[in-house]
Amino acid sequence: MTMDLDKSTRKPFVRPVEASWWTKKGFYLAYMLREGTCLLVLAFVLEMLGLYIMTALHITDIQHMNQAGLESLQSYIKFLGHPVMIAFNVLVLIAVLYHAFTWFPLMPKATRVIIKDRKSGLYKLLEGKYLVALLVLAFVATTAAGIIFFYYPQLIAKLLTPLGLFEDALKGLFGSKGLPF
Amino acid sequence: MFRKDRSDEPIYWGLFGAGGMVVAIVLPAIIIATMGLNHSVLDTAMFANVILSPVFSLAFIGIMILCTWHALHRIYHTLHDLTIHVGTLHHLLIYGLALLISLAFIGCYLIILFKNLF
Repeated sequence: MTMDLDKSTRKPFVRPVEASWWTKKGFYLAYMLREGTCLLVLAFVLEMLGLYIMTALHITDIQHMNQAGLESLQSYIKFLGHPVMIAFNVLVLIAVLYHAFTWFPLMPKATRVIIKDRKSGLYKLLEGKYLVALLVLAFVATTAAGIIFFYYPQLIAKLLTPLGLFEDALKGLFGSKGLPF
Repeated sequence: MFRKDRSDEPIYWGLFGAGGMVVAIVLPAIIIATMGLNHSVLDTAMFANVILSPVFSLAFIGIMILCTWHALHRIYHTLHDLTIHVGTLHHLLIYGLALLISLAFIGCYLIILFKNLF
């Protein structure tokens, strides 16, 4: 954990601080809300862990998901579609967006680009406002993909079926016909 | 084996940084896509097929594990701001929980992988 190279034998004076110090000023509150976004991220990870366990545990093999397994996975997805869970997910989304838009401006301050030639184009691109622009671009691209999948979830299966990744699996679920669309 | 003069902090901060990037860039898309999930038989089966692909699954657990370490590292350091002075117990509990969640994801991934192979 911490390095105690110069350990003092004297009892250090700790100035008493109220646990509610951060509620007294808007700036502190914004800081604490930013730190608080991680609680919602953790909750969402657990939500996804549930989904992942439900999927993984009910597979007999990649070609066959038994009826009971399909039904239990279906019930979990139905639970995710409950208005309370949708509201919760919207809350997580707001928190994550808040995290993102405090995280990107922070990056130029937190990263140190080690390239010998400081005048090279790459150095300039990975520094300052260009780095922020790059990250925002990546954010926009993935979020746009997320929105497309929200409206058209079959797209992901359609995109990947020609690659042959799931052809066998889909045949197992829908007989020799494969995907019924 | 363990050098007392070397700190293990860079590992946690590294995972925190990588996780923060994943949370900011990838997680919004995952949350939006999750809200679009449909519980019809067809959509559930298709979702299962996508998530059961070894490549997709690996990317998914990678994202989720980084998010876990990011969140729990941030909780660990925010305890200090809430006037809770962290000690070995807090360290073990919080990073232990992160390890536990990571292992749960990895365990599920191994189940999927082995069922793909055999």
